[in-house]
Amino acid sequence: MSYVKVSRRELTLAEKLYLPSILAGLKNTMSHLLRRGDNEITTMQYPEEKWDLPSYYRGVPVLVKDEDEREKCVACSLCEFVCPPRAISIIPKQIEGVVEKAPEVFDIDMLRCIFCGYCEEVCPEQAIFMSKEYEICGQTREELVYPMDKLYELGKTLGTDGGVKDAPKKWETLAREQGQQGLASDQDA
Amino acid sequence: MADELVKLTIDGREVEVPRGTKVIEAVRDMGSDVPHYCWHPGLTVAGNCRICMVEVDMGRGRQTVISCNLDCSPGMQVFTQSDPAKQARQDVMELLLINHPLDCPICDQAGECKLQEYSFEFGADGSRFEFPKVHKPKHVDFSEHVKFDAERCILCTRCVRFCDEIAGEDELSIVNRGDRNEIAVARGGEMTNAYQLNTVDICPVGALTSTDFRFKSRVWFLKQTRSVCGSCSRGCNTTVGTRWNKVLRMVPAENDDVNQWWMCDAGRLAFKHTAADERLGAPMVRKDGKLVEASWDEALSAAVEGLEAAGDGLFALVSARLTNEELFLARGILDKVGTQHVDFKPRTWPKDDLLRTGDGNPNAAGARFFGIAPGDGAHGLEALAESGLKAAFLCGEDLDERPDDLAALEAMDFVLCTGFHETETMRRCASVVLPGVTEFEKDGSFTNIDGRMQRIQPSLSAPGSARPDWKLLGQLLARLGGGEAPRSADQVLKSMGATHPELEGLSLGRLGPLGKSLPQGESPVTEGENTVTAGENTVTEGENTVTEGASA
Amino acid sequence: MNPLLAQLTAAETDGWWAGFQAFFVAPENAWAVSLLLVLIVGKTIPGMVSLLVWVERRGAALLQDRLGPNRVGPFGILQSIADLVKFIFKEDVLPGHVNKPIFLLAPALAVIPPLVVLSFIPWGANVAIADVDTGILACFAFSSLHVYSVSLGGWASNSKYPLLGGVRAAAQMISYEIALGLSALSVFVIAGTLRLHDVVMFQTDGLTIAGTTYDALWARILDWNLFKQPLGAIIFLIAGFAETNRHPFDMPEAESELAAGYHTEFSSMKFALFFLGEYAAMIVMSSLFIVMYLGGWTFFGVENLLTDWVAEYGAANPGWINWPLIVEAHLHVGIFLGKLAFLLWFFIWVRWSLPRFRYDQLMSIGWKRLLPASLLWFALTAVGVALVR
Repeated sequence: MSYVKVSRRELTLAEKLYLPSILAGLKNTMSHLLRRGDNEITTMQYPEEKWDLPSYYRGVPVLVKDEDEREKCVACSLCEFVCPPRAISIIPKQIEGVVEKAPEVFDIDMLRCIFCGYCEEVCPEQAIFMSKEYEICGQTREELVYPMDKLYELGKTLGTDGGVKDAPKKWETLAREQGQQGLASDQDA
Repeated sequence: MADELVKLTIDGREVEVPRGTKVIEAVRDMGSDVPHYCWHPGLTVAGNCRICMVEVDMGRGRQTVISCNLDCSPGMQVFTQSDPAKQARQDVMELLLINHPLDCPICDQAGECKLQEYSFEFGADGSRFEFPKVHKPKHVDFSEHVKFDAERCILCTRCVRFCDEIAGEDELSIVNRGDRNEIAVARGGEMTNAYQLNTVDICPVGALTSTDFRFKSRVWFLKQTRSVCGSCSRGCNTTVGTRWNKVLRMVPAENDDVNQWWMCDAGRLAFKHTAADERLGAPMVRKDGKLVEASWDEALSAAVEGLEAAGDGLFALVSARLTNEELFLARGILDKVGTQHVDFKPRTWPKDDLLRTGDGNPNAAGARFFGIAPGDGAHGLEALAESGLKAAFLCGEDLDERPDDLAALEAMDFVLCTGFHETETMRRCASVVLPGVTEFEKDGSFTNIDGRMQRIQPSLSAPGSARPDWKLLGQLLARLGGGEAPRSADQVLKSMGATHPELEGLSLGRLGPLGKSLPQGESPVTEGENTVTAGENTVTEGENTVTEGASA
Repeated sequence: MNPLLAQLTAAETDGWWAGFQAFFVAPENAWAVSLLLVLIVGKTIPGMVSLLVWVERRGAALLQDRLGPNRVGPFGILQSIADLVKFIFKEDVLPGHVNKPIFLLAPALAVIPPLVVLSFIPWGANVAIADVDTGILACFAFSSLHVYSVSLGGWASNSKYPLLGGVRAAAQMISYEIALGLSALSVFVIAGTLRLHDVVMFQTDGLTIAGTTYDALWARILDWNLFKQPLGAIIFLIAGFAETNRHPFDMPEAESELAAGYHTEFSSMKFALFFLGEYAAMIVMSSLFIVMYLGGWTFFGVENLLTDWVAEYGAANPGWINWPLIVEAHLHVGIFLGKLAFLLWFFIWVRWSLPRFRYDQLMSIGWKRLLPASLLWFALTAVGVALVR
């Protein structure tokens, strides 16, 4: 047999009239209004109450500095490369010191950003982190292209080194070793 | 001797190569590759990097040897991918990385770095070396063009050999001993040779970097376009790297018949004019003594009117920096107008035995081919001031540095100028200005000093409503009654066969990536092997031909 | 004498105040009283609507375990005012593809008929803008104009979802108008009058069974047409829901299928007028139900508490405004509004409890269930009335 015939139960008169079930429905909603049983308010009063964000939450990507207030970003542009919606644009500049390069311009277009976290994952310097910040608003498109200083400002919410304990200090190591080998004089500006 | 062939087996495949071929070359000819740092096809063999290890059996059992300094011999069996060979390369990588700073995030070479590539391919995931790395000077200026980072250097001596063997100035060498070895400029001076930026190209790591391109952009963001240098009549093949509609760097592309792997510094830095402030973005017409912007239609009409009125009294200065297609169209215009007073402006350029020809016009041969020269009894450029002609057509050319001629132009009734930036000539003399583009913004071909036609390709988009010169010249010609305006430079080239039989059957695609020599009186299409080409765009974004061509 | 009354009468001597009173009492100036009522009703209904919208949103939220609008004013009661301000300042888009005159007419048609119908409703014994003998016919005549706003709004929008919404609405409102009219007809058959005032009075004159008139409370309760016409009342209520396009019959703007139905293309105040019209129609339907089935302004004798005082004052102060009469009117209107509040809440309560019918179910209920049932009930009523007389 290729098909099975399923017969529906014949409805009783009360069911056909709808009215009893309508009354039951009204009773049910009224019990919610009167807070009978365990019917609690399930919504959150947003600006006052806020969601307890989980540790894995990915908000606005931000830039962080290390404990010496030094820019961690060296403008390697890997985040710019990996960014799926191409929200990041970086223009590098040359600086003095052990690290030779830093971003001149580091813009993230928050209208483009999809908060995927690839930038954080790809960063070889642990300079960019997904923060817990999610309240992004602005009046114009330009306003929502976050420039570098704003990203650093937001990065302060995470603490130095993005809150990472024992963050790698490879440039510090480099500077120390160079100093020991008598190369510090012409390196550290 | 050279014709004598030896037969050997590489990875199970029998190959025949001329006697004297190195194993690494034989492997490359097969289409395969052996990792290498110090070996370069254009330089002598140094054999110091030891990464090109292969396993070879010459009848006395297998042994690992470097392939770059091993001549192929009959009956030889080569294993490039065997486990011992791979293990040997991995060991070499580990040694090379002992003192390498691993600062890829700030290193400009990242993305086209052999050290990165091989490390990714068969490097270890960590170092077993427990002691502090040896530190050496970083960002040392070797000259105003070249910066040196001793820590990244793997001492392959490619740069040393280049200066010695190619540039002819033995100015780099290795100094100090052991793990303090580093490259230094001889006698503590600066690099002075005119080809020093080639050391940046051939440096397999980030030790030598170009001051001009330094930190401008990561190389993987560059749009790479194959083209030809427009600075002299050598016609060095180039790969133009662009981003944000700006040229960021220009590096040589390999072409054995023209420039091999090299290019002069001045030529490769000659792209700044594309971003000049006074680029022309709209046609202009002189009204009440002032140049004002006009529509293309208005400007073309005014130009045609002036040309027709001038007739055989027109003096035409056609630039030899224009492409063959444009010169052909310009020639057509001058024939329509009926003038004999035609010339191009000579340009000087340094001259040496390597590449630089001394002729700063990239297409002087083309200009001569299309008859851009004064006719019998007509005035050339030198006779302009005394000619008494009342109209001039400066096609892609200016006379800024010749005050006498400028004065003569100023006295004329009608001067039509085309060009890509606003010149003193235009400001003072032009009646009509039609905005053309630079060689980075148009399609076409140059004929070099050896009569080789090579293709240039656009890598930028032109500013404003500026049009490629072939387009605006084609439109001028059409308005002068020369038939329909061409829709592409390729169409112009294809149509040349009718009047120039030696160009019969030629197209931009058929010129191929390496160009085509035009022997006198011989039709190029008869050279069967060369007619097969790799289509229109041989170099596309992301394809890393720069590395291959420059530091192979 | 009542002290309040004494105070009132003592103040009256002469001057402009007496003239003022005399003006309103004069029979030839009845239009002035009507005008006053028009202004009061015309201003009150939009106010009621804004309150109603807040009640609806707040009620919906509470029924769904939410809080609803609670920010603007105490308990968020001024939310509708804020919304109104927003509506006023919104861009008033007039799409290029619409039939302009009709597109502009439709929102007006949504508001005017319900407001006109409200003028026939007797809010109290002496409170009605137009106390016409054929009140119920006038009510139906004007409320059936409401369908034009919906169908014309949908049609003039000249785009697919509004058109479908308009067509649905027209079919639905016409279908249910029949059941609505037939069930109402039964009421007028037993009441023997079309005048709404008399229909209310019919429900307060005591229950007459087999020639005996009972005046006890139970009899007064059972005298309401709700109990004399139970099936008719239910049919009227259901059809009333469908007529006002309320859940579970809100097919014309079933947003999951039709975007926003007939008013998809309307923005700013034009949309607000549709909104106003919908809620005004709800008030109209509830008022009619109260008048016809729930005893209008009466509440088991409470409405008569001030009758004696009114008569006394009237006798004592001829030619003067009968102030107790106005107090009594407030009592009546208060009773009426109490009932209205309950019914409106019922409308809201139903909306947030029941799912929407399918369109075929809607039509099937209208034509195959409610129409035969109302016909049958009308026949039974007619036979019963004939037998009793």
